[in-house]
Amino acid sequence: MPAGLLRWEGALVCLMAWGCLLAIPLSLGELGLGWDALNHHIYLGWTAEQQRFDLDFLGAGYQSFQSPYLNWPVYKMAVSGWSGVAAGAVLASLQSASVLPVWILARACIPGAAVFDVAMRALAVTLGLLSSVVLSAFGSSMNDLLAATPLIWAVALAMEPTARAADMPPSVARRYVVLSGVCTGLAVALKLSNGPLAVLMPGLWLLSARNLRGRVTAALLGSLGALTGFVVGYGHWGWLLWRHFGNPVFPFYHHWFAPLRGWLGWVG
Amino acid sequence: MRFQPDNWFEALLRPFAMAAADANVYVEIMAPDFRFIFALALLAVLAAMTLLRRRGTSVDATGAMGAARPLFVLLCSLAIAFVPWIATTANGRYLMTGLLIVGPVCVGLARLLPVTRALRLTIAVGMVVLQAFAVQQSAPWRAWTLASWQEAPYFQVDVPPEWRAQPATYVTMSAISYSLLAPMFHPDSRWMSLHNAPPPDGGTVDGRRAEAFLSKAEAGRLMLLVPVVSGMLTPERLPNAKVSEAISGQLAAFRLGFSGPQSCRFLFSRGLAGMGLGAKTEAQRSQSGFWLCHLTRLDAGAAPKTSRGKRYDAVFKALEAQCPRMFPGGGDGGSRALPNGEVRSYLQAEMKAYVYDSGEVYYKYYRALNPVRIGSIEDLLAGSARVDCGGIRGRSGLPWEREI
Repeated sequence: MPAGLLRWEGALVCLMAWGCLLAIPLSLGELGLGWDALNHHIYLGWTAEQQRFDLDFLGAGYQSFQSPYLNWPVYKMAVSGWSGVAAGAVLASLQSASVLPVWILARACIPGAAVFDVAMRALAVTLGLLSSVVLSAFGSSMNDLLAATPLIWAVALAMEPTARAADMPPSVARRYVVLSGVCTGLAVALKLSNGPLAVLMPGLWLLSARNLRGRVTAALLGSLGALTGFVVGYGHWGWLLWRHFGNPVFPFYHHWFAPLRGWLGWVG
Repeated sequence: MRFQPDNWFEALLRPFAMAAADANVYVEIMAPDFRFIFALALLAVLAAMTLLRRRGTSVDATGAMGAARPLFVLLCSLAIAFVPWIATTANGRYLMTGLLIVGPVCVGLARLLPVTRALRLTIAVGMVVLQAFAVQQSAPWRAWTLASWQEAPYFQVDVPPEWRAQPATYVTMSAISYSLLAPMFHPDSRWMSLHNAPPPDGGTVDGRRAEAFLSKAEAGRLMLLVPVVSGMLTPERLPNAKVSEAISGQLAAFRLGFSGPQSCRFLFSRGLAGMGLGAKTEAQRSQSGFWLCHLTRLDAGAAPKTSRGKRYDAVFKALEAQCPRMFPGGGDGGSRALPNGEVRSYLQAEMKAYVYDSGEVYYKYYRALNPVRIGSIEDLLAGSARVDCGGIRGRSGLPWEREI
C-alpha cells in the first residue's frame, strides 16, 4: 500500500464510518425519545445550562442528580426548534468521535502496511461497531456511547506506547499516558458508570514503559491526569451537589460523607 | 442488579449468554452479540495450533506472534474488564468501551492464525457477516423509542399561555416524570416528581426535603401534571371519579389534594398521541394528553389515612430473611394495603411480594408474566415454605433456561 495512502487510512475509515452512522438518523427520519429522554435527558440538559437545585427537588426523579453535560446538546437543539433528523445527525456526528480510537486500536492489534493489513483493520473497525447496543444509540438520545467515547480514547492512547514501543521515546510515551489519564477522568466525570472500567486503566499505563521506575512514573502520571480530567469534568457539578446536599455524588454513598458533613457543621 | 448473574456459573457463561437472541440478558433490548464467542473460539484454535506447532519444528510460522503483544494486552484488559462490570451492574450500556474493543481483538486474533491470508480474510469477513446478521435481525434502531421527534417542537403539548407566562409549583406522579415538558413552562416554575419521593412523614432526610419543597408552594399555584389515564376520562376529557380517587390516595401521602371536585383541565398532546403500540383511532388520539390540576395542601388532620399496611409485617420479615438479595429488609418503605391483602415493593431487585387475606403468599419479578406462589402464611412463618432464591421466575438462569 502506498505510504501516502496509508497516512490517510485513519481519516478515510472515519469518514466512511461517519457516513454510514449518519445514515441511521437520516433514514429513520426522526430522533427517538426513549424512557430516559422523557424522564430526564432534556431536563438534565436544561440544568447543565443553569442548575435548578434552588428551585426543584427530584424534578426528574433521582436521575436529576446525574452529571448533566452530555445531555446539553440534545436539550439545546430541542428548545431551539431543531427538527429531530437534524438533531439526530448532530448527535450521530458527535458519537462518531468513537471511531478513530477504535481504528487506532485496530492498528495496534493489526500492524502492517500491506493491503491485507489495511483490509483487516477496516474489518476490525466494522466488527467493533457491529453491536446492537452501540448502534441503538444512533437515532436516539441515549448518551452511553458519547459517555464512553473519552474512555475508548483513553484506552487507545494508553495502548500506543505498548504498540509503538520500539520507535517511541519515553517522554512521548509519558505524554500519551497523561492524555489517556485526562480522558479517563473526563469519562468518569461525564458518567460515573464508566468508573468500574476506568479503575483498570492504571494496568495499561504500567505497560507503557520498560523498566520499573518508568512504569511507576507512568501510573502516577496517568492517575494525576485522571484526577485532573475528573475535577475539570465533574468539579462544578460535584460542588453544586455538595452545596445543596452535602454529598458530591448525591444520592450515592450518602452515609460516607456523614463524618465530613458533621465535621464541617453541615445542617440539613 | 437487573442484569447481574445470580451465581458463578452464570457469570462465567456471560460471554456466551450475550449471544442469545433475548432481551434483558445484558441490556434491556435484544442485542445478540457473537463477538465474544468468536474471540474465545479463535483463542482456543490459536492455542491448539500453537501447541501442535511447538511439537513440530516451527514455533511461529507466520512471524506474527512476536508483534502481537498489544493484541494480547487488549484481550487481557477486555477479559479483566468483565470482572468489575459484572460485579457492579453487568449492564451492556456501561460496557460500550468493551463492545467496541472486541472487534479489533477478534480480527487481530484471526490475523494470527497460521493459515493463508485468504483464509484469515475469509474468517474476518465471516465474523463481520454473522454479527451483521445478528444486528440486523435484532433491529436495534428505534429499540429505545417511545416518542418520535420529527419536526419541532420536540414533544408537542398544548401548554396554556398563562402557565408559560407565570411561575408555579408543579408535581408529577407518573413513573416517567415527563420532565422534558418543564422547559415549556415558565423558567422560574418549581418541579418535583412524587413518584420516587419519600413521603414527608417517613422520617427520612429526603422526606423532609419533599415537605420543604411543597411547603414553599404558593397557594393557587400548586399544580399536578399527569398523563391522561386511558379509559378513565369523562366526556369532557377530564379525570373520572374512579381515577380521581386513585390519584387522591397517592397525593394524600404528601398532604396534597385536589383543590375542588373537578380542578383539572385537559392539555392535548400530539407527543403523547404518537406513543403506544399499534395504531390509535382518531377518538383515542384526541384523548391523548395531560391533566393539569390545581392542588392544595391538606392539614395534617384532614389528610386521608395513607394506605400503609402493617398486618403482615412478620410474613414479609420471614420472606426477607430467606432471600435478602431479592427481598432486602423493609423493602422500599413498608407495605401498602390492598383491598384483599398487602404488597411490599423491592425496587432494587425489581420484585414485589404479596400477602393475601386468604392466607396465600406470592412474589412477582417485574419480567414474569404471573406471580409465583410461595406457600401459605403459616407455612412461611414455620419455615416449611421457602422461596427458591436461585430460581426466581423471569430472572434466574441462562437466557435459554428462563421462564416467563
